[in-house]
Amino acid sequence: MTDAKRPGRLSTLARSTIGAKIVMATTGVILVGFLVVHMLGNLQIYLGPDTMNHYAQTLKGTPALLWGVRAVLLVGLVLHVFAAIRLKGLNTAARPQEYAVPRRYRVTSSAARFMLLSGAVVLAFIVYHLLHFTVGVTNPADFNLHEVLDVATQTWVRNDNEQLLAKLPPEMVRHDVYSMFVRGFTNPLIAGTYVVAQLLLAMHLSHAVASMLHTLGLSKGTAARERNINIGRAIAAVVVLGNLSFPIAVQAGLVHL
Amino acid sequence: MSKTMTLTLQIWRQRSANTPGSMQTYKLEGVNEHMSFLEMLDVLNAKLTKDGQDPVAFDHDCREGICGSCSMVIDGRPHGPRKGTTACQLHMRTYKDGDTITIEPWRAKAFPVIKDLVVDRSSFDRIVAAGGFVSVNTGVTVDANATPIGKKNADEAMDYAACIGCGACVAACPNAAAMLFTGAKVGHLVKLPQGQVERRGRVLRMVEQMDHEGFGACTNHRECSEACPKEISFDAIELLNREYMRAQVTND
Repeated sequence: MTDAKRPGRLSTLARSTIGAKIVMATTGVILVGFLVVHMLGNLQIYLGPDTMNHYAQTLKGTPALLWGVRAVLLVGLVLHVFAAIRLKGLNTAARPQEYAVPRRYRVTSSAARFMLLSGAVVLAFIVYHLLHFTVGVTNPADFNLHEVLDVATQTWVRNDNEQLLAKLPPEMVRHDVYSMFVRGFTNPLIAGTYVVAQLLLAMHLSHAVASMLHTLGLSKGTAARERNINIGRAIAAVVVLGNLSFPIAVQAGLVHL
Repeated sequence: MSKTMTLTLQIWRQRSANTPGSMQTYKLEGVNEHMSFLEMLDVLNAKLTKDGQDPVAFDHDCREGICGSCSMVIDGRPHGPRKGTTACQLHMRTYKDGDTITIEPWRAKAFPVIKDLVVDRSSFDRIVAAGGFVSVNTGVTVDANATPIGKKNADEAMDYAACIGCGACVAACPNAAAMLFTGAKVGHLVKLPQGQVERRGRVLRMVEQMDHEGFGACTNHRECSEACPKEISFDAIELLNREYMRAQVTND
């Protein structure tokens, strides 16, 4: 075959269903990677206010890294959502007339069948979570908490005097993430919302990880496929159990002010 | 003496592609347990014809499980309840007296209903025509074993080549995707030396045609390989993804 007859490269990728699947899978890898790191970072809540607040201070102290990661995550999430909507549209259009008698499935799971639903709930949760803990608009009283460096003892102490905070140099003021975290989860309704969202995240991940490994061509053979399914469930379990522990620990009084 | 049974059949009747269809109920007596599923439908059709009614249209040809013509969703499963079995190889001993059986055509945009249980599967032919072949100059037949092929590759190629193109994978897929079929057709050639020359263009063109026909996209439910009467491995889709990605980055 001559070169002229060969289909183009990126143009076919962008249009194709497999291209959309590859977008789903690669952005999925990024998002799952973030979920693991995010959960592990937050485990520092169990090491007390100083460790937690120092961790937050370090992240905010490296804006290039912070905003770089945020940009990648935002682009990844937007592409993931758009690819999902596009694929759902194609898949719905691919069967205009449903079966008169519901099919009896053999191996698929509820997690696989309701990916869009669990994904939509997780997306709504991400928006709420950012407004709650990153932007601080839903509960500003729990969000605007700060610590000030006591120069004499070199320790950080809570201080919410806004006039003082405004006057101090930035290196002497840090966000009191620990208190925000504890106060945020003290409300049973908010804690409950997080728990429900995490359960749906578990459902989403339990299919997502094996699915993305398969799309990326990393599960050749039944044994590898079974292994990937188990890896996916393990990652889902670790991330979600870690995340679930936070509101539960606050509600149980294990983590307190 | 063989047992006979009385069945209630609920069958999709649709006069033509453009008229709406519906499920119709038929009572059929005297079904012999040794009949194949299609023979049972033959008996029903003989009865319908005798009664002056239109017989149920269904695709069939070899009736020995290798042609890929029979195509019906029986009780919510393509080709019925038995694994690795085409509808023509399904026997009525699977059922018992008094059972109700529902029969529907494949449902997919790319498989429009022609009549009753018959669907137009030429979309599969067009996917194969887009690249599921090797171009060779004809002439004297090549000697057997002139091109040695490793055992593993030969086995895998043969496993993918077992696809009979019946469309059960599409019918079983929640997304009406044809990626198991396309993967099998790409797979049986990519495993062989003869398939290497057109390797890159083949997968790109076949996937393009597959999308153009209006099939859905795989979301890894794995229903297709479970429904496949030839038990094509779900590896076919993983292979298709890998070949497609490879084709995006290589030049051969």
